[in-house]
Amino acid sequence: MTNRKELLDKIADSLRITVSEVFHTMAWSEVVFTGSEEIPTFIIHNINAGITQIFGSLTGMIAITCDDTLTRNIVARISGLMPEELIHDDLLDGMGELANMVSGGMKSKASLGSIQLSPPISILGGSYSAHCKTDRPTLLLNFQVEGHALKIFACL
Amino acid sequence: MRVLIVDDSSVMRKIISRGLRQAGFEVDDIIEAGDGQEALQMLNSNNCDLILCDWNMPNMDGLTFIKELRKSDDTPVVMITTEGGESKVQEAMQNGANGHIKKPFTPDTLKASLGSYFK
Repeated sequence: MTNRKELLDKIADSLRITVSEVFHTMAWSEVVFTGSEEIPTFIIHNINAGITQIFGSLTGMIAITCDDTLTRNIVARISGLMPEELIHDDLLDGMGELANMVSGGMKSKASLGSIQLSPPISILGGSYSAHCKTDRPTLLLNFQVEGHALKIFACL
Repeated sequence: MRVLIVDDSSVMRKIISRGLRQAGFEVDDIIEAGDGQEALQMLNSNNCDLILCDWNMPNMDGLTFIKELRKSDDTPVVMITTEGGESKVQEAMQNGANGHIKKPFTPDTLKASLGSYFK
């Protein structure tokens, strides 16, 4: 039986590869992995987020967060529009697609058994806090993309 | 060549449209639908040469769409999805899908996977 450390290592490895693949392939962006850590719980404030829930042999969620500038630049690039042409719905949709692709890629690469992914949840906003109470620490992967922080949370 | 893109994400529909053109395919017309139900309705009044379809969609998902489509239509359908699990791919193919492309994809991926439909 895979222990938790082995599981988290497998998830971290698959997420690192997937994030790089998604951003490079769809947005021609280089992603620099800057480190990972386990944090007590999942809380985000005033940041754009895309979240996918996981069901089945594992339960939890994968979340991707980044600031407005990175969101706009990446979504513009993947959709072929100029950043200033994007409307609010495009940004919501784009964050959801990024979360969808990162989660789906992780699922394929990590071979986690029988798990299902929910449709993505997108959050754009300037003044909020969101907290997901978990009974286990959350894995946080930190990246830099074009000078902006990109974070991937795996709450499992 | 008319292509129908079926995906609930407008951003993804733009990505696919752009990818088809970047792959160098001669596409005369691209029409879009936000889910399987809408796609079936559009096909009632629009003949298409190729359908590119997402898996997870509201109202009618990709698998249900294919099953319904295949009752009366043999237009080629290629699934475009994030999940490349073998069982899902097999299920789609068994129900009439002609191929499968996994996201993320490049124009070269589209060229390799869809080239035969554009000849």
